[in-house]
Amino acid sequence: MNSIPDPPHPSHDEALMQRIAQRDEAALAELYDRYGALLYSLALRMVGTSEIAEEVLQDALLAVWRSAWMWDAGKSSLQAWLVTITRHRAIDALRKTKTRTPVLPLQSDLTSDEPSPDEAFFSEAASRQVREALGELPVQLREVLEVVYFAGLSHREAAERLGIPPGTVKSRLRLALERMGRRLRARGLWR
Amino acid sequence: MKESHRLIQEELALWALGIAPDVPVAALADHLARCPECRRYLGEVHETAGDLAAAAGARRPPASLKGRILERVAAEPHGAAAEELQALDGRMAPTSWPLTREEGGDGETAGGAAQERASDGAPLRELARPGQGGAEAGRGGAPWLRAMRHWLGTAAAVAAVVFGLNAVQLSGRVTSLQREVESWAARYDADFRWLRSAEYLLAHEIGPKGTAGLLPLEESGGPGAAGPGSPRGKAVLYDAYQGRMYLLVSLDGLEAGASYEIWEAGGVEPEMLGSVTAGEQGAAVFVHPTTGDRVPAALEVRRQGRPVLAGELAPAAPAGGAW
Repeated sequence: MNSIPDPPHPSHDEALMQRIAQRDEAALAELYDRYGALLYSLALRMVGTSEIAEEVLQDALLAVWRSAWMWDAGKSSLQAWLVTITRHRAIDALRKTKTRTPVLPLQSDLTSDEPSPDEAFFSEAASRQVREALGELPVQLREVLEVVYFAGLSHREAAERLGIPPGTVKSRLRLALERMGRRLRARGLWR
Repeated sequence: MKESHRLIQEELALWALGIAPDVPVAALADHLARCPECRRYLGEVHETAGDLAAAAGARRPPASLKGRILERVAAEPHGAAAEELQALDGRMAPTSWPLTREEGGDGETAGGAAQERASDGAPLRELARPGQGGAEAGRGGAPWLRAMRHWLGTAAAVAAVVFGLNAVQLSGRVTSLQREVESWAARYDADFRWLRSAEYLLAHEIGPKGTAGLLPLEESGGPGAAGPGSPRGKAVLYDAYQGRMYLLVSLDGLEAGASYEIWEAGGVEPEMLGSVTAGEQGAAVFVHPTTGDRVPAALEVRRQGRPVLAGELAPAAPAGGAW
């Protein structure tokens, strides 16, 4: 199994976000270098086109610029906070365009043509480990995560797509997230 | 795990992924405030969702994107942070709960100014805050922040004329000071974000059920009237869900650091609901959960036993936020 790079030290994230809160543009550039590939890849996965994914990332980082002070290092990792903001922006974009990205199997390789920069924390190794953890989930749990998390469907839309009751989507989603959390912790990915 | 917790956690998983839950957000917030297990669960789901993003693959953004983002940021006007807060309020599943009492615990509170008192066994939560109304603070900047910005600009112009200072140097210094003030204001807002989010949610999702203007009593010439302005207040009652209600009492013009009691005055026997301590700017907020059969008809605010403010709760229009 490939080892993954050490995540940025939490105090490094705090210092970075303090600088962003004080309107230090160089700090935002640093944050982009560190998380841009991760967030762009997520947005691209959700919205399906590079043009909209770029808009999503721009909107998300503008939100970070405006509200860096809202991030609380004691309550959330920086990555989780950034991912939440990016997902919200991507869901907004999906609703605005009223388009839906085909739900591709997560094992499909989107990375072969343009690998992320070596200096970024986000790496192919990390991506592979998370995919491995996903692959270990029962297919019924994994497909719920795929349509809700990566296609941005609500639980009701997911129920319609999968042909199961909304209540089943909710219970499978809870189970899937719990099991993913355990697997990621076991791989040392969870901070 | 109890069945009720499992069901709540299903809703929390939706919330953490940006999907509107099937139960009122106010109900989730109320449960989270009392349940450390579900708070822990929400935190874990939030982190898992953060790591799950890596499964999307690893694609390098176009080389020009970084420059475009930095250009947009450079063109960003000051004061946009407050607008962003407004946009985020109610959408982000919160990961902090500053005004809480643990179920069966020893009354965890955070945020320094938050205190807790219970007069009748019901959980009471209070918060003294050092500024003006919280909802106002999130919309385009608090009044004091706007005044500070204006003052800085005026002072710079006067100084440039009087002392003949280098205009560019002065402008840079003023910008730096303005950023400092904004950063300070942002921290101030963050401290009270949870309460303001709760107010926002309640006002926009539910609408007030009743309101009361709390006006100074003529006979109250005592210490309560010695605040920085005229004491005044407002109470708003929200029917949150399933008969669970929240009474929010917002006060200002109080004496900084002084303690005030909130009394239910409509019944045969007045009953104290709790107390608050005024912040440095003479403001305080009191939050009181109650139930439909125990809604106060009238309220009094007392200082050292002497009534200072009073008002009767009147039914409010069914829609719209009055806070």
